Amino acid sequence: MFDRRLVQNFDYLLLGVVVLIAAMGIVNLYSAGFNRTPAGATPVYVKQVYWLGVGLVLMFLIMLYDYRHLEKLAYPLYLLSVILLVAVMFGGKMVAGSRRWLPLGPISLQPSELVKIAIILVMATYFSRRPRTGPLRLKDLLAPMVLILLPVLLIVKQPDLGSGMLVGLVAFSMILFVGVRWRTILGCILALVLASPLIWGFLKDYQRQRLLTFLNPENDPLGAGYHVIQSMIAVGSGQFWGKGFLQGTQSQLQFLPEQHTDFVFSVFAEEWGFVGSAVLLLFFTGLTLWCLQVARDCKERFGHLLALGVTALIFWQVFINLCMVTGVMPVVGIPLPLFSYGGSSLVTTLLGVGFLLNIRMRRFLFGG
Amino acid sequence: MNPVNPEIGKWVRLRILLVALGLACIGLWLCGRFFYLQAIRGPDLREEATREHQKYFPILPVRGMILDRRGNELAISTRVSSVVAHPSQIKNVNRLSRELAPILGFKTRELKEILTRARPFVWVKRHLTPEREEAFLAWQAAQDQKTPAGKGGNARRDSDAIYLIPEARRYYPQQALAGPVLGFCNIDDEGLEGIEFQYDNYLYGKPKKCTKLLDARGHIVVSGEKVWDPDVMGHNVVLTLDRTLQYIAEKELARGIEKYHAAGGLALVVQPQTGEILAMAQSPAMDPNRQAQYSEEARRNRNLTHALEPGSAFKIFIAASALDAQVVKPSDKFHCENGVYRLGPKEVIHDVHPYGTLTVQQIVQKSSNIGAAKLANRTGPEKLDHYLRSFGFGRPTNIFFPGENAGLLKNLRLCRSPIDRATLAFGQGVSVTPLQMTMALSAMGNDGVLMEPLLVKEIVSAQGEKVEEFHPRPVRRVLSQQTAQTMLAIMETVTQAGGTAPLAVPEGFTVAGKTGTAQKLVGRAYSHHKFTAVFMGMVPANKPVLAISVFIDEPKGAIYGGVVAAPVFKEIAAQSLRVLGYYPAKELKQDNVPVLASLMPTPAVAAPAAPEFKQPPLKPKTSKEPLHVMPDLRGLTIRQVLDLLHRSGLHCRFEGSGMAVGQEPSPGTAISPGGTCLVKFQSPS
Repeated sequence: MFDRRLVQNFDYLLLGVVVLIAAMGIVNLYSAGFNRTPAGATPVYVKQVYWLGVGLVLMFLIMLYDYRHLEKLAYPLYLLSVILLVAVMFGGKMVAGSRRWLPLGPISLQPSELVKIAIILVMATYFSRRPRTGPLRLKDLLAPMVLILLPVLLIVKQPDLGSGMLVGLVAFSMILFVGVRWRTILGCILALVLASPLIWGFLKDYQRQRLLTFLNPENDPLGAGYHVIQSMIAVGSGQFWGKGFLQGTQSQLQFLPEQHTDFVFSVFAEEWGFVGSAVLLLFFTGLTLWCLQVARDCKERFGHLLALGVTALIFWQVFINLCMVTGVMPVVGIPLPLFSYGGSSLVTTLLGVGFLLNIRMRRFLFGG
Repeated sequence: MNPVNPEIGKWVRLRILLVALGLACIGLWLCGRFFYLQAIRGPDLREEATREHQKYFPILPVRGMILDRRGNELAISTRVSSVVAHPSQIKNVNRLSRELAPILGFKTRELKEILTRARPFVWVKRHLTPEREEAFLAWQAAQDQKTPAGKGGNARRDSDAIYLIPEARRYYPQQALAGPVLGFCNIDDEGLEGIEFQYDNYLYGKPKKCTKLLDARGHIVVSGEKVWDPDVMGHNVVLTLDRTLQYIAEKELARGIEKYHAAGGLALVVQPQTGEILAMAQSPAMDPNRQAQYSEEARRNRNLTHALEPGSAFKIFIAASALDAQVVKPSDKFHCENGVYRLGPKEVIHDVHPYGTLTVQQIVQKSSNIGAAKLANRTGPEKLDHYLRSFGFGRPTNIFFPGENAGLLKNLRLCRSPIDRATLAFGQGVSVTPLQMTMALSAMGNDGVLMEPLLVKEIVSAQGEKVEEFHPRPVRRVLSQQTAQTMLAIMETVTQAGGTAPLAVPEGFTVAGKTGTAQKLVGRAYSHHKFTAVFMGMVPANKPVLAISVFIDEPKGAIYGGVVAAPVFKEIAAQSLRVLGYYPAKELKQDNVPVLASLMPTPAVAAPAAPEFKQPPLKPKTSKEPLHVMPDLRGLTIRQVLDLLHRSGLHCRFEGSGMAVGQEPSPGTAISPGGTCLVKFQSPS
């Protein structure tokens, strides 16, 4: 079953870029946690190394398994993740006002991360099995819409608006790729605009606050706008060349909120300046473009859609996170993939990359 | 398993290309956003960041010391702590007030009132006693144990909103000694009166700011503060006063006042050759440690802020003017009208005792008003005016001190009334300060040259470097050397048999002086009950080393200067001379040769005493003797070293801070004044 060509066709470049970004992330986490680790506790960067190890092992395991068989796993996995989401609603760990974590023995699992993988698989499966009849019409969208909204609503209910939004964005990006009629797209947009007051009513107070804050952060610099302002100050004060490793005053003196996770880029930008930020951005842009290339080169519809889904997952997270820390977007809890601290997020991203590598190494096995 | 999709072809590839282009554009746009934040707004945002985490704190300057001429401390600054609070940051005022009230010595209600004031910052209690400070620190430590800083979220603890800050407190270790000369400071260590006020610029030191890094919770992470920073320490002011002489003058003045139930008094001891003021005493005394308890009048240095009528003591200046103008000779005779001198229909001058014919010398000796008036008349208003102004009357002495009074001397050339001119001759219708009088007297003891009064000898930095030195400065020659000598001889007869003040002479010395008993002005008329008893003189008479003046205000029982003031003069003179190392001529073996060093040894540049004259110990403790051998300084603090080396006359250079660890020259080396030494200090840690 194992083919020598798989090794020959292995995409070292993709793996290299991913490991490089993850390594930069770990170095940055060393700084973000510098002087902040309580005595006796494992520093976050060490934990991140463990998770990177776990993620890489999972990634290699998934590569051994021909991705086309994943199609069979799609619906069971989807079902599992929905069950976990329901479970988290009742048995989840309450952290900072929301239930996002499911305690599983010594570690905690974030089901919303699993949903990201599941939704990509389900969408890819659904559309690859569906006979092609030109651009999708509204009625073609109904079934996928149900598939999407079920987990999204469950996540938003946690409440985790950011992750819910992300799952929706990834799924809709995939649908758009499949092709939707212009009329339908316009209709959907119009419906969304009309429904926005309803959505506003559906939002939690803190979520509304965030949106308002985004519109005018200086309104309440010590309250809701604090995070955005502090992040912009940290990023900007890095100036062109940065303050140097471990020299970031704003991060080291704890002015930055959530500096291991959502705002980890601010730490990086403060210490490495515009030069460092631009290089990191170049890597991320390169990564997403290369992911697109994987989708483009894939001659097979399921793999093609799967690759596009992973691309969308990486792109949207990077985009939203960078917009958030530079003050272009309201604060939503989206981590920077491969860079932010967090086992679930890192493993999910690495699994996605595993799909890509899987697709990439098997691109010549069919048809072509 | 899906078959390979033939439709993934041109159209999809084009779509992917478009998306790729879009992604590239988004990447560029984000890059532009970074550039905008980091390169364009970067400098502003960095400034904002600095504002956030860097705070400047003023370091309280430490006020310099005021020392006497021998380096004794008259005013020092000690470190104390004060409690301050930020009321708006306190959540549970009740609990805090309850806990802290007993520690700080308040009633719970009082403390609560302070802590609920609508102000961002309040002084809770200033200048804590060491016990209270310790108790407060213990309380703080207990709070830290209960809730360690930084735990429990972002919430600041109440105990962070109330804390100690270091302050310097002025302390006058000699209590009331020279109180009105030293002046005092307010609670913020700013000089308000006296030397403290006049030399505030030197004493106050340089306020400095130190940078502290704060984290997001406002905790200080890095602090650049030294607890006792030499940079912020003010200069030390070294006075010409001698603590011992000051003590003698104050003690004897007080005794004289007590004896005659007087209202008050003033005394000055001046070195005639240099104009240095060695003692400046006044009674009632004022303790600057508790200055608030005294009236404004008591806090004033009245030796130079208070102008009074000098009475008969003024006659010596009339006589000196007449002699120097060569309108009379000492032996010239004047008829003193047997005590009643009629100048006009209603204008009569009286003498206390009726005299017939008196020589110039006798006029001074017997203090005849009529004789003095005739002397003044003989001199003529123009010459007299010239001389009296030369002596410095009617204008400030330029002593650098707040509130100096210039006195009042009317323009004699414009003075038409003969009685006014006549009364001036015995010190009525003219007002002078005791300082003016003493300086003018000193001119006669200094071969006729008037000196500027000196109260501050030098200003020394905290590191021991000389910042400024004040040298004796002659103002002008008032009398010829011969006139000055003649006046000394005439004034000597005042204290001899037949004079008004035989009581002024300390045993074994001669004194040249003059008494005065001035009627005080009450309203616009001269009182017949209230007098100022004056004696001013110099000792020894032939070559004075000290000029001393004593003014006793409103003595009761006896009123005459020769009775009330002269004995005070005698005691001050006798004890001061002994302290300075001058002994009565009789006690020495060579009876007829009084050995007197022309200048007393000054500690800062200690001149060795005359070889044939054995310098007695100045104080029971020999520690203030000039140093001739380099002492071992190791282990001493800067202040101690400064104190020790002050007597060596060495120019000291100090390096580092803390305890002395090294020195050059090494201990035991012979040293001479004017040499240099280097002392290295290190923090003991």
